[in-house]
Amino acid sequence: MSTEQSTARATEAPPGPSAPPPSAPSAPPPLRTRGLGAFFGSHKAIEDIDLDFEDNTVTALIGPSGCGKSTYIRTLNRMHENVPNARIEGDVELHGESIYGRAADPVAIRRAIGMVFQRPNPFPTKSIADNVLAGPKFNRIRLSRRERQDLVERVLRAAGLWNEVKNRLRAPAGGLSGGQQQRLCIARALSIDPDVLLMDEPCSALDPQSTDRIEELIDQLKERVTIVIVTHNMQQAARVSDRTAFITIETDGEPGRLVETGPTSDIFNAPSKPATEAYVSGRFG
Amino acid sequence: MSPPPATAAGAEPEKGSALGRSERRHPITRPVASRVADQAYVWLCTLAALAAMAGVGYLIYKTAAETGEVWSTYGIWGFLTGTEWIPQPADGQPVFGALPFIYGTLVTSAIAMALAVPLAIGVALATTVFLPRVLRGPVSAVVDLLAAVPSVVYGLWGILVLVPTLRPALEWVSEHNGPLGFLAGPVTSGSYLLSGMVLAIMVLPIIAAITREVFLTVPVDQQEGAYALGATRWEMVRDAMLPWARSGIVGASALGLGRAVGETIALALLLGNVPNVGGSLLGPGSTLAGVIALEFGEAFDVHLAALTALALVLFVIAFIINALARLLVARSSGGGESLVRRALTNRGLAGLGTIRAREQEGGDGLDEPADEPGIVEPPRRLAGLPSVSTSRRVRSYAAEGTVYLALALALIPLGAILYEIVRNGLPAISWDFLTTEQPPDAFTPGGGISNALVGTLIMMGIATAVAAPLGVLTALFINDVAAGLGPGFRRIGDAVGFFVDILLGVPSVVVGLTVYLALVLAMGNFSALAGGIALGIIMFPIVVRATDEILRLVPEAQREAAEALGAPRWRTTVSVVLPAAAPGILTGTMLALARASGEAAPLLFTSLGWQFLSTDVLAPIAALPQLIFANMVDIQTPESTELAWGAAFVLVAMILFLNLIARLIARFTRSLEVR
Repeated sequence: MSTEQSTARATEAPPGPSAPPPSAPSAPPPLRTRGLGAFFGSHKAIEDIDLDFEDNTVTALIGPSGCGKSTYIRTLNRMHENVPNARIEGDVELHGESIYGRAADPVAIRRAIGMVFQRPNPFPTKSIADNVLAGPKFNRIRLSRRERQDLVERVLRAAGLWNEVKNRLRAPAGGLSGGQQQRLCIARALSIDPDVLLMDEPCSALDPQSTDRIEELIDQLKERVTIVIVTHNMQQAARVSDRTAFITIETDGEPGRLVETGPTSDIFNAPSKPATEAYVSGRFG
Repeated sequence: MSPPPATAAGAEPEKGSALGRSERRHPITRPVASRVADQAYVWLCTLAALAAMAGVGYLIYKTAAETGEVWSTYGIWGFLTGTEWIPQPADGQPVFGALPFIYGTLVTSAIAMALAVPLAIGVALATTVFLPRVLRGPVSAVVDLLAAVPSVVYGLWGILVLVPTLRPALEWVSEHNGPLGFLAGPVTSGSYLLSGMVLAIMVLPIIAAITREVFLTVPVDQQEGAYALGATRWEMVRDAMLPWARSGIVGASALGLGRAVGETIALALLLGNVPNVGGSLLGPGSTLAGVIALEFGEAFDVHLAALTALALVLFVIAFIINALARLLVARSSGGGESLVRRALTNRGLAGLGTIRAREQEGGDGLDEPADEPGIVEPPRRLAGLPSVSTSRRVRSYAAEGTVYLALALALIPLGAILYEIVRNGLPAISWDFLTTEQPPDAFTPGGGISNALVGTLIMMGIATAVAAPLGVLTALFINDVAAGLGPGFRRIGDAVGFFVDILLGVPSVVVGLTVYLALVLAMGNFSALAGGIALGIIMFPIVVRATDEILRLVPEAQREAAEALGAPRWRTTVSVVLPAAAPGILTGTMLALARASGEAAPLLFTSLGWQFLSTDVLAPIAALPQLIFANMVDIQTPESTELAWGAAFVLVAMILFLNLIARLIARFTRSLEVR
């Protein structure tokens, strides 16, 4: 990365506290799942997953291909149910409230829980600025011209993209490189200030340099928002996450199950289950 | 650490953001207004779809009810197999038998198929394998033009040009026919053979376009496999392409047949309208569609009911042929269903090119566009290597020659028609011609077409106003709303889609008659409104399927991007899906309009025609195709002929202009996407 970018980051990122404070035992975590299972028709993709996602924490979901990581993360903001015949069992709670409850509405849930997809999906014909402003527009948040400018600059800075695009905010987003597009998608997700940010293999379609840039970004963003990231790259999980959850399928046709979860250093250095050790040491998957 | 991206609402900075327990900042429920908007969107689409279905259902009901008298008097079998058709006998009861018309329809269609299918295969091979790459696109676009020329113009050309030109040849044939009784004289000006030839020209572009698409689905490795064994270009075609494409070609032909059986106006003008079974191919006959159009004007009571019964028979024949065709094409290639729909919606190259380009982009519009589809060039022969034996080479050259011959035979009539339209039509065009009403009778010189021009524009406006919004909303229902509301709704969506597919195959003459029975009779008079609605019913399924296809191509990733930002359903549609699909919807609507604006058959039953300039939508009104038909069907005088040519020139120019715009939109959009 260029010096321009590192200076940019220095100005964008003032020093701040990074250690998570002790949590109050009474308050529920921002996001947690209880006995969560997901189906495609009659096929059960995942089963009985209990996980808590803490504040100011990046949680990585790792596991072999097809274990249901992506299915799981898509249940967390109710994107899973877009697939025909898809359904879930168990529950997901946002700050202690069920997002699958009677009153809960998927549109409101997705506004509160943002998502970044595997392949960058900016609106290619909309301009860079309009991509960022799509969030407020979709949610009928009215902004003055000044506020719009501020918002665009602020979230593009937060996504580390500002210096690269500040002179062409009106250019179509389709003209950006893959890595820039993915950071634009992150900026877009931040524009409506979600409580939780879900990232489904956000770097799998990117080159190593862009991957580095996004990983730095994740590290900065966790001060702001609870992050859940699916990755099949174990080095990435080790680099960016505070906690790691390992999901796997024991035999073909079985649903994916949570094997273990804990601080990332424990999972990679002292896993308690043999399956986890086999996976993280590269003997399996 | 990055400064917190504050809420868009501007309420910043919030409590508890970077430190300690965060609090829920967003409700998990949605404001009532937002939910109501989504409900409104869902209901609007649902109502549009169901209203369209109910309307068509009502038309079908009225039509079927009208025919009851025929079945009870003559019996189904008796009606279908009766060989006599005497609607207004001098004394006694009228006699109605459908067989002569079924026979005439099948014979003309069979002749058309026998001529069109080999030529269409030749054209498809030329434009996929044999022509130099740069010529393939333009040549198939030129062949597509044949599909844009309206039926009534083919009829005009047939009567005034083809019949006199071929008459000596046909007379020679009838004198030297020897033992071939089916080619015996006397030669009449209307005949099965000539009608079949004109019909062949009309269905050729459709068969050629689908066959071409089927050839493009032949896997590259099959072709390379043949070339790797040392095959010549023709041998590759024979051994790799034709076997693969066989059922697709059969299906394409069946689709052409479905179109042929419903053709009305050209055959009404060319076949002579003499009901007979058997007899010489050089003699006159009559078809189902033709007799309905020609006798409708004087038909009352049971005669009208009998014509309606013929329309029902025609509908069933067309339905069966289309269903079979669909089955065959769908089996032969992966994208069969959509191929069929594109064929039925009369979208030739304009739609196909774009869609193909998009499909290859891997769905999310971000990939590099793939290479040109399908066809591999043969390896170049290197000097010094063993060459192909002389006999093989001769055979290959002969085959290539045959393909080029077929292409030439397909292009000659196109050239001839366009030449005659310009030669005869252009001199008639003047400002006066466009702004004067038509003369009072066929013997008065001068006059113009202002009444027909205005009438056509008014009815095109009404048709678009009916078909475009209903069509787009129905497509949204099938594609977006029904799919998102659970399995029960999805079944309703499928049912609506099936219904639309049936509508696509309904001959336009049947549409006209049903609108007459349900609307004109109820309103008490012929009107521009009824004509516009009939044209709208023809446009509607085309708009639905064109929109549906395009909506399917909007990448799921784009929808998900919007949904993940908390966009309500209607918002996703309005802000993301429709803008991406807009050019395609516009293209589809233009092509539908081009198709409907050339239709004369339905107007005979609905807007009737009017000699004077009128803008009253509740009164009869003239239209260009109907004016041409009216000037040709009874007496042909030099005056009426000149008027018809002039009107044909204006009509064809208008339709080609619409097609051109549609193509430009399609191309412009494609160039946007490749970037």
